[in-house]
Amino acid sequence: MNSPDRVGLGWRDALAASIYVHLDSIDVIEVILDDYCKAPARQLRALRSLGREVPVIGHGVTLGLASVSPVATARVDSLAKVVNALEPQLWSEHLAFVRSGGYEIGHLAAPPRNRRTVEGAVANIERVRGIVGTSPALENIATLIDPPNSAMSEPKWVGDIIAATGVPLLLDLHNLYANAVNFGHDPFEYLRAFPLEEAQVVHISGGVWIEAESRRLLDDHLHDVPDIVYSMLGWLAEHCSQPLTVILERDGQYPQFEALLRQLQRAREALASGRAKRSREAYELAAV
Amino acid sequence: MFALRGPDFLGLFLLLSVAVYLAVHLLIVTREAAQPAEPRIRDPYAIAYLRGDVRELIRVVALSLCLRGLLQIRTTTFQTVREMEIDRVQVPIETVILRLCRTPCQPSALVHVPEFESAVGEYERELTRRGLLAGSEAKGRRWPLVLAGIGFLVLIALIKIKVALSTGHHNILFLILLTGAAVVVLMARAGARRTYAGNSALRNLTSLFASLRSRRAQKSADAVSEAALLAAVFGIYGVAGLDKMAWARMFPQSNSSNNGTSDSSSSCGSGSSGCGGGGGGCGGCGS
Repeated sequence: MNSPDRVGLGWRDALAASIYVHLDSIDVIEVILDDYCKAPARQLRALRSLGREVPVIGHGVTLGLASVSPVATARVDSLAKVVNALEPQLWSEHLAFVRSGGYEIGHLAAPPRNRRTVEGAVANIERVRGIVGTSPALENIATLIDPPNSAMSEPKWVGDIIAATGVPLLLDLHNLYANAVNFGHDPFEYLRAFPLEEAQVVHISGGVWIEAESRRLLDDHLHDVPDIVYSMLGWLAEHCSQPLTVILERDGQYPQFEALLRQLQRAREALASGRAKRSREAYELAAV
Repeated sequence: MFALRGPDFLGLFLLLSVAVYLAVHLLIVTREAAQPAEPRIRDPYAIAYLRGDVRELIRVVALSLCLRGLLQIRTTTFQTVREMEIDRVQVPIETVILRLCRTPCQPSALVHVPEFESAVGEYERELTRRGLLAGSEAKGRRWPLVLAGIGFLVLIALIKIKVALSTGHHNILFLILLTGAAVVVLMARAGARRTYAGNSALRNLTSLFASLRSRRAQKSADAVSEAALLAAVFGIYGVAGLDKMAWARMFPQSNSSNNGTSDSSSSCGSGSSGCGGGGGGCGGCGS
């Protein structure tokens, strides 16, 4: 039986040729939409042609949806052009803020998790939906500091935004794992608290332990996916019924492409193992 | 219009010829864009053949084999490095080249070997079937448009010639030459090798991998595939880290426009010079 789950990786310039020659081993490609906001039409056509070779999904990194400030219309317009040109199967953005008071922060920052930012994010998502015509799946982000002025846990905060907007969840398992270990939670208990039934896309990646005020796991996309993330993926496949699209994110220090293909294969095995457990449990339940 | 003086009429005729060419070109493109095609193309060798011709195909196959250590360059010839590997190679055109290069063989000598022609024919047929190369059917669809364009220009030229002769002007040579040139250019458009879909597929590949053009090829298993793909899309000289001098010697510039046709200097061409019947330089090339 063919698995409804799909496993793929992020399209990066440095990996493009290797991805292209290995498309038989890759179910889906994730394209960073922001990279193409200023791209000429021929580049967008080329990317669209890639969509005839392999399913393509989009990923945004600069909207900064989780903010009490409205997202600039020009920025959303620009992204909408790319989404409309590529027609990805779905697209996603982070639940983060990336600018404040006119300053670009330069990375994805976790906002205070409170009612105000929930409302701000919901308003921004509605605004984006109105301009782009489709809603993004929303991704949980990693943070090295517990956002100040937070009144809610991360799973509750993410869950409230997802519930209020009705958009799918992009569950980044390494972000989730990093937040869990950085702030003293059990990764599996932490995972269980997220609205897993809304997850459509899963990101997996690697990171590095750093010494700050205390030891922290930094999600850097420069290292191999750790074993525990595969275990969490298997657990997720066991505990949710919907098909999952899993994307391996790698942004530098590229290993041999074979190593990335092996990580995709491990993800497939983790999914298959989780699905098999789920089927077995369902069968045993029916037998009882 | 026909009353214009010679140079003025020639200028107008030139503009008219350009306009006719553009009109014919646009009509051909519009018609071909409406034809069904399968633009998916992943095989580097098929891409190379689509972009260039049989020589381009040889270049990319040879590059891939050289990077894998199966073929080596010996000044102006290729030679198979490990004969026992030949049967382990799965791609027919690679097998053919490795077999033919068991003794040193010039690239230009390969093109007339029936075994090689047969392997190339597979690419020709597949790309034509997928609507990326213009086969006889696609070219046949272009001819009525081209002939209409040619007919129009020749008619204008004939009228002007008649008018000129009737008024005692005999300086019609430039008009005849210009008309001849326009006819040749229009006929070349009818015979263009690639279809609209083929050109689009190549443009898309070029855009998709534009940022990789200068990447250095590593000597790993994937880097070979990557290098072959980049060579197919941009040409072998687009692959960084290549000994360009050595490859330039293998494929001299003077031969680059012969589109795979005969090369009288080849060491095992059609029996002309060099090793002829397989005796000296390239041994089994002709067999």
